[in-house]
Amino acid sequence: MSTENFKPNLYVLARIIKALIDNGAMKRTNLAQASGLSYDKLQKYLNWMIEKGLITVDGDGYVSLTREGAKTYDELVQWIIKYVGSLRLDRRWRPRPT
Amino acid sequence: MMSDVAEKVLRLRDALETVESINNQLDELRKIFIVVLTVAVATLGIASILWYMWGTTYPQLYNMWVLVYLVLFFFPLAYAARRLDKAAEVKGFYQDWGEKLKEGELGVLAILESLDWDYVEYRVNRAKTLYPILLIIDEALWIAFLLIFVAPAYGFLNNLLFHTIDTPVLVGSVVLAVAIALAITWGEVVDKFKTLWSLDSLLWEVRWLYHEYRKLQT
Repeated sequence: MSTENFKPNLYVLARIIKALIDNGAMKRTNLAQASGLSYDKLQKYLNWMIEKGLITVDGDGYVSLTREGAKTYDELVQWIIKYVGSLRLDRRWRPRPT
Repeated sequence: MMSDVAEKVLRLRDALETVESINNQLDELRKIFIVVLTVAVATLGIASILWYMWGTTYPQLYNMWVLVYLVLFFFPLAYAARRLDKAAEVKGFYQDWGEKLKEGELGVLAILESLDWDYVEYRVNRAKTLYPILLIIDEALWIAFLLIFVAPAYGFLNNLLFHTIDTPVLVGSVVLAVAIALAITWGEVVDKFKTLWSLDSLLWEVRWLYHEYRKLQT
């Protein structure tokens, strides 16, 4: 199935990668549960991630993260720190306690 | 590092809630105008009909005009002030951001993905452009409210001291009401101008973050 027009939600993508970082190689059903996604939705993301070389699926159906996949998560975190962290917001916008 | 990010996100939430509050007040203006105009027309209409029907038979009904003036003056003031105050309260918008931030970096991504960037940019731009209207209306309400007390007092003093109540006296009472309103609300006016300035920089920051986020998505 082609994933050419597929645009991943970065939050969902990060959740899948984080689940794989925390738990190591996982079966799809367990991964769907760990990342809080429906099986169909997870499958779409997995196809896209395989195409991008972020994960591999072995013969037993275990999904594991590649080095590129782990790097992608680090890059997302670095992006957040770099860009969201450097937002220049006026001091008058004071964060209220949550 | 992530605590800095969380603080920035919460600041952004505060800024966007202020933007929503301003937009809600702007949305309310049209409704206030229609209601005030309708009540004014209805009050004048009913008062005229009653005057033509009974005014000649019961001349004491002439005093009814006092009631008409009171309705025409107090109602718009009280109604507009109340509606604007209520519209300024923002509930629900971005309320779940605090909870999402507990997820750390995943929460920040969830927040960024949940934002309708075009809508946010439109709302910030609208708030920034139309905010001066709210500022003027707020001052006008204060001036009108103060005139209730200033005009009779100023007229009474002029009558007492100079035995005159004419146009310059009325102009004088308006000028005095404007001066008192500005003195009372000066801190608020300065604060609103600062908000206006902050909205301008917020617009640029939102545009910049959106641009970088789109680059990340591709």
